[in-house]
Amino acid sequence: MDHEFKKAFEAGERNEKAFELVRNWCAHVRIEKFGGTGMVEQMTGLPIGNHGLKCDHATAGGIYTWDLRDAAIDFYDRNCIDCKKRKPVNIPNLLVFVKERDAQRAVEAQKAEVERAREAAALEARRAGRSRLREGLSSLSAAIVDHIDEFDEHRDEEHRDRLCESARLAPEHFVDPIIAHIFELTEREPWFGEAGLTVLHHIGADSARIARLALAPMGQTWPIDTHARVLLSRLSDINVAQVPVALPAIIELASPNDDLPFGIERRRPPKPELLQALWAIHPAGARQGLDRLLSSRRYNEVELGARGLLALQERDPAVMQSFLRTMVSKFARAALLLDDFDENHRAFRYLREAIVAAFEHFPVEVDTLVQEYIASSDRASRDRAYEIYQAALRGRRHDDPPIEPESRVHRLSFQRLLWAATGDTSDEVLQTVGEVFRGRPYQMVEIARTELDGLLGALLLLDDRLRRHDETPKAENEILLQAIERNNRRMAITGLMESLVEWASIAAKDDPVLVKKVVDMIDQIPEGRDYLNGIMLGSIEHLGRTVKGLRLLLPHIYYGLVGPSVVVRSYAAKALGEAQHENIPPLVYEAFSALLWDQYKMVHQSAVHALRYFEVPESVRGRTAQALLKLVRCYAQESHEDRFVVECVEQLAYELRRLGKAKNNVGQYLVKVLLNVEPIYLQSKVRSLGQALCQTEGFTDILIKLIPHVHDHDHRREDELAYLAELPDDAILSRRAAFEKLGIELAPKRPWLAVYIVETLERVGAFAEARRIAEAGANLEPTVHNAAFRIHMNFVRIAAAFEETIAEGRTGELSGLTQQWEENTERQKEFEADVQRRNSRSSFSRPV
Amino acid sequence: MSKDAILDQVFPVRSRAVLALGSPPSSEDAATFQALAGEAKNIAVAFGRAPAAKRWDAFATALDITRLLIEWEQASLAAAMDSDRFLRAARLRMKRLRAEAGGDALTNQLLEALSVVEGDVEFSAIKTLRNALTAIPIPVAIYTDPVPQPPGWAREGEQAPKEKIPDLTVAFVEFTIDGTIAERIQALRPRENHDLDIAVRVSRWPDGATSLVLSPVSIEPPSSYDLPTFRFSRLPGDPPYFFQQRGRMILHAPRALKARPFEFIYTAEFQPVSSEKLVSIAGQRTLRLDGSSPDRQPITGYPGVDTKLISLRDALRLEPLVPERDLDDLLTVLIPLANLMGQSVQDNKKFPSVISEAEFQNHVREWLRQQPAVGSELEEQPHAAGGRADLSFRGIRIELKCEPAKRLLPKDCKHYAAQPASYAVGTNRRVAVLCVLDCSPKTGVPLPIEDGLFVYPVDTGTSPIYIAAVLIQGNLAKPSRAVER
Repeated sequence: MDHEFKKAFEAGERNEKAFELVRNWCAHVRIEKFGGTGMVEQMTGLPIGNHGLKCDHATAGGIYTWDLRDAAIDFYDRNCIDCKKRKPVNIPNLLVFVKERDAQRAVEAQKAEVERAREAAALEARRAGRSRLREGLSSLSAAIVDHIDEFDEHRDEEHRDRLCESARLAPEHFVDPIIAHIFELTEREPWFGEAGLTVLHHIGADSARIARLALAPMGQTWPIDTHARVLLSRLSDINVAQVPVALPAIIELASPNDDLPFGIERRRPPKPELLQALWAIHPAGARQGLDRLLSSRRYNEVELGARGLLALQERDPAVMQSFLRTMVSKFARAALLLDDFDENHRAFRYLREAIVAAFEHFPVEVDTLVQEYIASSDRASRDRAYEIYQAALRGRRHDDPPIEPESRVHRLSFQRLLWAATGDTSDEVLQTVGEVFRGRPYQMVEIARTELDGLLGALLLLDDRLRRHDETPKAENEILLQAIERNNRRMAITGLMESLVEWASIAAKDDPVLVKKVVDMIDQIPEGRDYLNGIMLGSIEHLGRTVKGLRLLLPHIYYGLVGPSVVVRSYAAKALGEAQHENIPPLVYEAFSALLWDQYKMVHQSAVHALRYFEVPESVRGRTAQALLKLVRCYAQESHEDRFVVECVEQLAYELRRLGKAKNNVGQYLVKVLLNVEPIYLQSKVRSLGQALCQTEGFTDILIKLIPHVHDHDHRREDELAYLAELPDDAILSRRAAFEKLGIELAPKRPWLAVYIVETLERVGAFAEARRIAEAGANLEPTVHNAAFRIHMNFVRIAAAFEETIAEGRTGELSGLTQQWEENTERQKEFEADVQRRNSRSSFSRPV
Repeated sequence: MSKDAILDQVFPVRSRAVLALGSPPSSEDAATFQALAGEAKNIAVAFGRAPAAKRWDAFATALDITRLLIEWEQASLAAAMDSDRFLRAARLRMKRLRAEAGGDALTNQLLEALSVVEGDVEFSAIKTLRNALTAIPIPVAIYTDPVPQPPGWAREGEQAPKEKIPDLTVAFVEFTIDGTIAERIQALRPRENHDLDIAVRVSRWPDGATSLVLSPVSIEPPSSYDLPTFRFSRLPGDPPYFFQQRGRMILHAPRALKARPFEFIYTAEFQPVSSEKLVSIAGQRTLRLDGSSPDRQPITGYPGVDTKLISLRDALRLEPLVPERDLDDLLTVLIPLANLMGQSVQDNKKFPSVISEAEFQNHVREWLRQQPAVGSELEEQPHAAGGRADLSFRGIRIELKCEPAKRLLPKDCKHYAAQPASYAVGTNRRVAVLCVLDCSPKTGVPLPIEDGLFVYPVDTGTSPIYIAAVLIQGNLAKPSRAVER
């Protein structure tokens, strides 16, 4: 079973048991889920996900946790300890968790106490030892012992620096007994390590012993900057046998892990000097350490080894040479060579970087190794081996200067991947290649230009592959997943073809000869290869930027638009959308507008989509609008086409707004159409639709429809709520009853949303309706759970009633409402004190 | 930035404003409306970009105009200078409000009510205005809409780098008193001038500092001492810097035996005083001066013994496990024993011949009982650790031994130390006394008296017990018969 599935399954089983114990605890308690339902949960029926406890007699706050035990104990601590309403159901119950937690806490407290006593006794013994040490010392040497005593007691920077600086300023007072004591402390006491090494370094104590002491704790202590500094000045005294063990920490110092984008780690500067010096002076020890890491079966250790290599190669590129096979093998065969290889441990950021660095210095050797693995490995290792070529071509900044076409590693990788896409049948390899060619070539543009023939040739071969794919019959009794995979494979092939066209056209665009070569290829495409033909038309986006390129391509675009092939018409419409429009003749748009009337979905949907990128000339606007209206009418009748309906409405609404006719009958019709669309398709478009139709009659109803679908966790950013402030007063007033109904429905469960409606109604003077919404929240069932909502909505009710009273001239009632506000404030304070009291008992203290 | 619900701030201002507008006029009105207008303005700011901001800004202006009219009325009635300035200000406010109205319904309603300030205005117009404002409802608004700010992490790069905390400056100090390095507790004759030399090594010199000043700090009364302050100017070159200087010092008062020594700490600071913390002093940071004067205040009557006694006291004081009270009691009982030690050698009359341990105990008991500081508090044969100690004074066990045959040296007494150490442990003390009489017949020169006074740390396996040993020499040879050892 997949590791993640297994973890989810175990969590579900654990939660299921916890559910039972929670339900046995009290009849009042409810378990609620936060978030959606995953596939494993759906298939197994186990409660997997974040869950929390709720109860009418508990405050509404609380936590939802992956392991229900955490939420249950927190809930118990806050709400159940002194609850008088509990209705026990059965045993065993929630107390099982509580007892387990309390027992573990007691053990921890006892451990902590033992540790504290041990530390106190050790400190006392050290003090007594130093007291004896003072006998016979001069007063100044005895003062040094005092400084050690003080540092032992306070262990802060000031006391440490005082001792260390004393060693620098007055080393002669550090007599032999003191040195022996400092050696002993440095050896035994981790807190003294840094200070001890600094002092011993300053006073020039036994260098070999210092080196041994500095290396020994590496891996168990951090930071090690002092250790490194001390070691750097006595490299020849280092015992080589210690190096392999210390190397992981030294690499961590040399090349800090910056996977976390923020925080302290990000700011820690690399300090590769010690690692590089060790490699120079003690290569055998360093090599052994690196071998140990790179050969490890643990992902993080391999990555650490790779970081070490990267730090070393800055100074000595040849360092990679002896690790090439290990690196390539570990990357390609990670699934076989790692114990913890899984979704989270497969990327090999640093190993990948190290291989790329090695590739640059040893292109032939690395290529030979990769080819060896491709030729002789299992499918998975072969797929990963191709990722090495991918890594060599990626990871650069877009604004980096172009790579020279002579770059061996880039040419090799480019060629290997290009032909892998045409020859290798693996979906993974196709995906790997697709990722390399996705987007523009940027710094690879020179390579692409040099390899233009290869790009065009690969296009022809990919088209063959596409045809083979399309001609392959579906499996008998094909299931949904197989159909999805088949479709994905096809999209990967066409997507790669589109990318290659883009690379080829960008590479060729500044060279008329190459431009002609690309356009000539369109001419040479055999009859019937509509997809290749259509995809090639996409080259207009870049080739069409020059007059010559545009002149060469326009006939192809035009004939594509009016030609017999549905596929080519569709691609031609798309290509026109992406082209520069300044020099496109109106005749082309005329041909394009006809596509909006095209009977084939593929064609007219592509044309509507292209409309997002340009405005048609005035001469065809009317025709375009009519076509869009027809499409809206037509698709509004069909099910499962809401997305396209919204797209058409959006285009047409913008045209109406441009004409100043958004409020007319057509605008109102469009609003009616939108009212029948699934909310999910409207939510993402409401901002742009609102800009065109906000003032149109009926748009208020769209908002009333969408508001209940606003997500609770980010309602503050929802466009639906923002448009409430934009609605005309009369539109709100005409739908005041609908708003009131919606507000009253929302107030008990989602008062924060209801308050938006209160604000909207208040703005237009619908004070009574606003007050009634607030009342619906304030009159919730009076449970502890509802208390916060009730108090909050009661404040809103009083404020709304206050303004209503003013509006109606009943000024005599105002002081009464002010009094109610004061009482509600007192209630709120009492409630907050209760919440505070409950929360003070809460803690995430279930020991792991 | 998230939207906050601020109704709890809004409503109290709103209700107070409405009730104030509707209340009968009072002399406090001007101050009341000024405060309310300010609070309303703050609420307008808090609403940020929300539409309510504009409404509350207009309401704040209306309250302020009301305040101006009230002040105009009060100033006019009091015949104050240029009382019309309030009226002019009110009109200007209204003019500006009108210019900013922009079609907002509430602002237009407020403007209509405020129009009473135009033309000829009577005092009665104020009441009309207040009533009109009271009757205008303000739509309830709850959420603010603050101007978005980039999150903290995005501003991280914009922030100025944190000011680097300067490295700690350490000054390593050495003192020399009258030409010799100062001891941990330096004996110093009081009421005499002494040389105090200082040598300082400084790890770094902060920018902007011109001099380094080292001055003494003490809890002693200032009249009891004079210690010098040392000042050093910056030296050229790179750190560390080395300075030397001489000063004069004097202790004006002697110190009692049981009193702790004078304690002075030399602190250092750079001048002019900057934001940097004080310099950290290492080395001889503390100067402990023993101003006791055995020649002027004899302790046992034997100067050499007194000096030894003081040095033992100082050594024991440095032991962290020995309580001060135990040390006091120990000294109380050691002083007569040390005197006995002196008498025994000086006259050879106390113990001229071999005596038994019981006789020795009787002798010591009587001698101690005669001491006013000991007297009745001396116990005999107290139980401790399953045995019986010979004598005891306030829990300080005194073990007596008598050697009739073999001459003893201080190191020979060590094998007796375990017994009093056990008694000390049994009494939960860290110190005990071992008093040994060497009454063996002597043929040679006795030991110097003070050499018979010493302290043994007895190792218990964890922390030590300290045994103060007193070796009394008796049965001495006549000097004329003494032979060289």
